[in-house]
Amino acid sequence: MMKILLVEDDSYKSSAIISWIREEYKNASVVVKSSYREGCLAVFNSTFDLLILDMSLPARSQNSGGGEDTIVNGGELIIREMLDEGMLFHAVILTQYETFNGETIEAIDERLRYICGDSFCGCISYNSQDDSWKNNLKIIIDNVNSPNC
Amino acid sequence: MCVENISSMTKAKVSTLISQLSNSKINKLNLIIEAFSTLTYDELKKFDSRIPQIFRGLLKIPYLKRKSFSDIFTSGKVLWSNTVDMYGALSIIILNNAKELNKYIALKESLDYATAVQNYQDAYSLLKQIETEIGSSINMTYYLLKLTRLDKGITASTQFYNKMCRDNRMLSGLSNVAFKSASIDIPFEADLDGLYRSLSTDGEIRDFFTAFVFPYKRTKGDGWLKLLLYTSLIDLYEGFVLQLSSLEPDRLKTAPIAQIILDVTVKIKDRRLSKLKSLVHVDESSERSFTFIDEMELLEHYYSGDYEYVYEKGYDYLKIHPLEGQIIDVFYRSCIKLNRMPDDIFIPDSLAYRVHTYYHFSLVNEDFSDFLRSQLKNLCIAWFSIPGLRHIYQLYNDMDAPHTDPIYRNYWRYSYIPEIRDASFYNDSNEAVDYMISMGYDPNNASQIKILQQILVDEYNQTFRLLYGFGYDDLISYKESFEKHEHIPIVTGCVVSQLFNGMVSAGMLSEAVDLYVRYRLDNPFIKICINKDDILRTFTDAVDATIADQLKLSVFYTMINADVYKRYLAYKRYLRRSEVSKASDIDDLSDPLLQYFAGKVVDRNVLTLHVLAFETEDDIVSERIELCKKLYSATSDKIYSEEITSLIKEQEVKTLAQQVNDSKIHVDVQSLINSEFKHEKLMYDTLAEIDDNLLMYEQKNLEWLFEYITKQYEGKSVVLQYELPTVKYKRMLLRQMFLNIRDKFLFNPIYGLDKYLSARIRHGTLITQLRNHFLTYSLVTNKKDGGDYQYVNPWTQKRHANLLKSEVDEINKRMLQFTIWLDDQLKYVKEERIQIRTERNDSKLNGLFDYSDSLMIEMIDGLEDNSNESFDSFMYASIDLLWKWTSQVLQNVRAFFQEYEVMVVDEMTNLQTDVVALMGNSTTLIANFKDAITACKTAFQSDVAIVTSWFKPEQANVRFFTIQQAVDTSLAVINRINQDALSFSEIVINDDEKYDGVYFNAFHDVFHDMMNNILGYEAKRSALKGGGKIIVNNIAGKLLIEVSNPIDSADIEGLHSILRDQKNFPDLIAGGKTRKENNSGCIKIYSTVMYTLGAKNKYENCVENGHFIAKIEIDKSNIVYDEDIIG
Repeated sequence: MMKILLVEDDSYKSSAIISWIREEYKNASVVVKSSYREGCLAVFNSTFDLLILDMSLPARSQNSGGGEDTIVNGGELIIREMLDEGMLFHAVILTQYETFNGETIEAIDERLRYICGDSFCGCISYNSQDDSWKNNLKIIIDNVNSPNC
Repeated sequence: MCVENISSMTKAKVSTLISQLSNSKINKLNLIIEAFSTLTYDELKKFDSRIPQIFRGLLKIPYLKRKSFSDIFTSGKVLWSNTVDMYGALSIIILNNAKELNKYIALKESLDYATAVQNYQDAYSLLKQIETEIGSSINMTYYLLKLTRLDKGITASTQFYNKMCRDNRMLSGLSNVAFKSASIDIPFEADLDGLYRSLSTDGEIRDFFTAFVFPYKRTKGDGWLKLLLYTSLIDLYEGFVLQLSSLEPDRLKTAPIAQIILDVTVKIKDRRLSKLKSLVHVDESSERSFTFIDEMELLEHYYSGDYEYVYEKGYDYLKIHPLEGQIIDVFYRSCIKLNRMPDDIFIPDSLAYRVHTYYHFSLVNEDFSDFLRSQLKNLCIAWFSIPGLRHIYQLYNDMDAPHTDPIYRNYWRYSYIPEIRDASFYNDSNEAVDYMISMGYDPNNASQIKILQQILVDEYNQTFRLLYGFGYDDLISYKESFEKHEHIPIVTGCVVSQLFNGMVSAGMLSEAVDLYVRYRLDNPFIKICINKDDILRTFTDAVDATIADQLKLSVFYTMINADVYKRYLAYKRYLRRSEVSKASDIDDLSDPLLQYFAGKVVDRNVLTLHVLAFETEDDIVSERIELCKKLYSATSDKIYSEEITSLIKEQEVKTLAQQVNDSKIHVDVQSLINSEFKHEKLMYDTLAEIDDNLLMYEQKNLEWLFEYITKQYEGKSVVLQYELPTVKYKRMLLRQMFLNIRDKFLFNPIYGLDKYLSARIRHGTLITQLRNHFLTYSLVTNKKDGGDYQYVNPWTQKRHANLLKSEVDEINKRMLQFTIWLDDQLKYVKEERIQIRTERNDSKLNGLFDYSDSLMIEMIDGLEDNSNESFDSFMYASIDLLWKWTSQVLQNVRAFFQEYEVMVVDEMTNLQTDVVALMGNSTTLIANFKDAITACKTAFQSDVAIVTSWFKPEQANVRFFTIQQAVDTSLAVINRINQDALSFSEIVINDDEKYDGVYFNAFHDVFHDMMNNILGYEAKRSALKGGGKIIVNNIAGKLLIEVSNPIDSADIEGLHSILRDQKNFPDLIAGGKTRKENNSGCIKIYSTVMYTLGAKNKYENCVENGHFIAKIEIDKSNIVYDEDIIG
């Protein structure tokens, strides 16, 4: 069974992603976390076949006494935490934003591929009115799921 | 061709031209121009020497003495494009106008001094004198423009600028840039850079533009010089000097320019040209036009380390020469070395004062150095015409460069006092020594010469290496030599820069980090030039992990202000290698490096990322407090004790603010029980007399009855067929009692739910919480004073929007449509949904707080079981039932907000689709707009989560509080949702009593309403922002609170109506007419002060001395916290 971690704080977006994954991949299980901290804890405590990460994340969730700190590149930092710990992973960034701190998602994609090599599967632009993110995500999931990977 | 032939050709050429002068049919001025354009410099000199006296005046180009600004560029001649020697031609004109130009130079020096020390009357007079005696010019007209701005402000300078444009339309483009760069307060460099980049004209005109309005940038060529004959004498001269100063040493040293410089300086007494001459013509025997005895003394003492001398003498020197850049530099460096602040030399706000202050503090103060540097550069650009400021600008520009090629290579350009840093003019240090000696330095004793001479024996001499750079092979030796302190103090930053960058390029990364950190720790104010982008490309995460000293790496990243994640990873690795789980586990903080680590590296940003060690925000704050305690213990620096106080206060405010959030849904049940149920008690006593089985008819269908009566009246015979239901009278009475209790629970104007819904949710808070992020991201606009919405949306006004007019209009319309829609929704939520309805109070039919009896009937009938014991039992059971019902109602409210969120998010998606379609090809704008919508959606969802959290049963946790805490919390809560909009000029709390926690919310309500009123007022009268005060005193057992804010005289009449109404507050409250307070919150404040906080209190508003003052007097005796009472 494919195990996917979704780190996403926008409930609409995460619902849309989960419902698509469940429809498309009946044998996939999806664990959902909604903050940088929860995402880090999840990756350190469990193994996942694929990480789907939002870029901008609250540092901690509200119900764990979290304040209003947002980490603009939270998704990227989760990846870099894993790199620093020497962990193996496959990760994709799925974001609604076009830019972060002046950097386009294409530039971030290029930079993270350079840093992470094959562990990083790419940045996908999410748009609730356009299904192209599904096609792009499908390519990545199928790739990760393939026996050759 | 032999020399004799050339010489005779020259003679022939010159003779021909001169002879043509006598021809009356020839335009003599054109002939002069032809001579200037076709002759070499030597030929021109011959021409000049042989021209008959009668025609000599032509060489002055008389029309250059312009009578007015309007004449400039409207008439004149231009040198030919293929002019043989541009510089030579101009120098002849200059030499023939030597008398006028020397007068100009002297007057200009006085003018610069008068301007610098704020002696504006003298400055205006001098400008007038220059115009009268030498002629109008672009330079001096723009000088006057900037002086007007400095002296009289933006309105006067705008009027002058407009007049300039009317007087000379041709120059209006130049004038516009001069106008924009006249400010010394508002940064304009980015704006000017944009204008400069947009210059699309060809090379010479672009260079002309550059020379006159962007003089701090270099011209690309010298062809533009020919256009100077279209300007004026002063402009020609200033353009000539500017261009000469921009040439590289090789060009200056070669013919004919070297000769030109020599010839011009014989007659023209200008320190700028004299300096160039000294550099180019190193000759001990040549006569010096200027001597710098005092200045050279100061420099010598600085370079030999005698800072006391520089401090004493420099102060006096600068009073007379306020903008002598080189002396300013060594003077303030001496102040820093001696750790002394000089007294102010100049009038505050004068140009000289600003230059000195910015210069001094940009060296010293790390936190503001970037800001002050940019202010200083701004000022230097605005006043580039003043030579001293030209020098300072050049110095800072070079030191701010991302690379460390010789940092002083341009030092000689705009400095006049000869010194060691001029040595970069030369390729060879011998030449530099000769130069210094020729300028009067003692070859046997001068410190600067000794330093220069060292290079003769020590190839690693830092100063010369600094001036010329060095190869990376030399790195180690250079570093060793440097660490023996064999360098002049002024170059420390530059040398460290060069060493650091050299080491990074050579792959010596650990050494580079070590060097940087050590020197910055010891010299916090030195500027070390690094290219941060290059550094971060080299120092990848993988490379970082290999660096041995992670402590220094984390400190390094903090010092260079790198991405927080870089220093977080280094911090984490350091902790791991030190085998501690957090920084506060480090016991000994005596080492300055560890102090820096604990104090600056391990800040809240780093701790926020350390999620595995710190679960909550409170954990982060606790860690920071621990670190500050250890740092204070190690250093006794009160900055740490102050941080501890601030953090503790923040935690307290957070707890109290949480209490505020948790107490939105409130009923003052105890007060109701104490005073409000007398009638219900009477009803209960009546119950005891009633037989349990007594029935009564219950008329429920009034419409039927009405119809029946009507038909009877009309004479229609109707048979009464409606069976009236019966009900047990006792039960009916019980229901009545309950409903009365319910109505008081809900609607009592002092203690009831609706009062608190109004005060704590509807009044200001709800709408602001749900709307503030839309405003932040410019998705909505606000209403103007007249009541209409601001039509123009900021998105259509963004720089680089590149929208067509029709697109702008459509977008504004759509955004306005969204604004109106959102505000209508919010109004509906506040006025229709967050409202209470019952069958008796049904004006709000859509109210979510539905306590109608038909809904509650089963629960009400269940009360009958509690009716037999006592009224109290019944009353408490009723209240308990009401709270249970409230819990259910609150679930509905929360569900409503979930739906509301979905609806608004959908509408935002529609807005994005519509607006993006209207933005055409503006890809940057579209991307930014989409990001704004995304960010706003996220923020809005958080806002809804916050609002939803208000609608839960009250949880009161605070045992006690102080007035300071109540004020701080109220201010924090207001500012959290109003983008820190509210501030006070004074908050004085002379009371540190602890008060019972049950009254916290009441105090919060009072302060919140008053602050909200001030905030709303300041939004309309922004000039009065920040002028409010809060004063609390404790006198004779009474708490005296005064909250005031300044008001505009135009508003006083309107405020008097509030003052009149306050006499009627008790009646209005009793009559349930609290909504008559016109959103001022005054009645609510009155109610809270007089009823919740005690009966002996006072509250009144007044207008005094242009201030609206709310005065509250509270009897403390009933509200003080009693520590002996537990629970």
